[in-house]
Amino acid sequence: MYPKGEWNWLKGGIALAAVAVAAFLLVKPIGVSTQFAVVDTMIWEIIDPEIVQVREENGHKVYSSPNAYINKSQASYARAADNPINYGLIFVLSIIGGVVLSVLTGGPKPNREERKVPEGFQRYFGYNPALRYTLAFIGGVLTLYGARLAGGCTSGHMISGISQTAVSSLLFAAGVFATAIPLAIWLYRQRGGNQ
Amino acid sequence: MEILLAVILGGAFGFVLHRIGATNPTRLIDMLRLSDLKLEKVILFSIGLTMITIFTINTFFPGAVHFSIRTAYWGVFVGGLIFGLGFALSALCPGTGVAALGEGRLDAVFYILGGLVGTFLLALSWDWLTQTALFHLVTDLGAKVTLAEGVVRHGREMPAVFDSIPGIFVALIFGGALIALAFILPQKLREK
Repeated sequence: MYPKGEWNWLKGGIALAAVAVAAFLLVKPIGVSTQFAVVDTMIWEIIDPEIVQVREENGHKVYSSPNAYINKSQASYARAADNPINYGLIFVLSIIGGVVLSVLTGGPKPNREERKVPEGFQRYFGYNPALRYTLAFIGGVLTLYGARLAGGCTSGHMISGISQTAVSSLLFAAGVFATAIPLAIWLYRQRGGNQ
Repeated sequence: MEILLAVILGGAFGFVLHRIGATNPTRLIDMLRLSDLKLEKVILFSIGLTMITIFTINTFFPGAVHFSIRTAYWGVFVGGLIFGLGFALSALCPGTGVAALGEGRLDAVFYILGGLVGTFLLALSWDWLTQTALFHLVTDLGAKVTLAEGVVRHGREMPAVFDSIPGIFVALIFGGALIALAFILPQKLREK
């Protein structure tokens, strides 16, 4: 059973398109996974301040980094990490606020047990928080490694990218479903000893 | 001003993700194992509608749409394959993982921590990865290729696969097909 309060697919589809179009017109296409690189840079800088280098050039701050990934695109992740009040990061943090607002105004409310182990997971593995947390963590490692290698995730590549008919985003979607669907079908199956 | 837009658009995105059920890993499990196609319908429909809308606006008001096309190199496909494995294991993705924090999901905290580790591992391996064939372009049309023509960014038009047909037609056909598929798909293809 899904918690009550969801919109149907048509209403949801129109609303999601409205947000995506607004982002295209007002600022830039929706994207999330870039901010993981920005937050990583912030944490990395606390441990090793040398990871972000700043120098003045003709009155402008020029960023660079000894790490090739943080250094790419004129070290844009380093720049964002040193200027945390920027569009991309505030956009992603505001997502959390939007969900809180939805929960408070009649949206789905997961109960205590559901917040630890989702019902769909319990269906196949029973109530096993340790297993759920472990798979969520490993899944986090793999999705972000893959997303940052691909230059985007479900938001940036699929919603924003395919809408622009980008070939790269179609390629990403093909890759995602080629592994996600078979693995999900195999992983989430009824097991003999389970209830 | 831009920060205010970030709060409004980010907030709206989170609100909608929650209302469609995308912050619920059960929905993502059912989406991927094809036992409830609601999210497939939402995503196909919204991509189709967004595509038709932005290409229509782009036709009548060139420059109004802020396009941003990503480069098509083989690492995008391989990254997608890796992403897909993690997507199935966690039943969360970067956007829905962040959003799920807003409804107090504890598993999402582990997902986010994993995501920060995964990004760190990518940063460590980047130097090596860029020297492999993963960064070879997929097509000799160029780096930032689209299907539909008319996609301009910073005054430069992106190369298009169908460059002899107006972009709006490609968007209408492709976007229309995605919307039609959203309507045609059944509620589920498999049992739970």
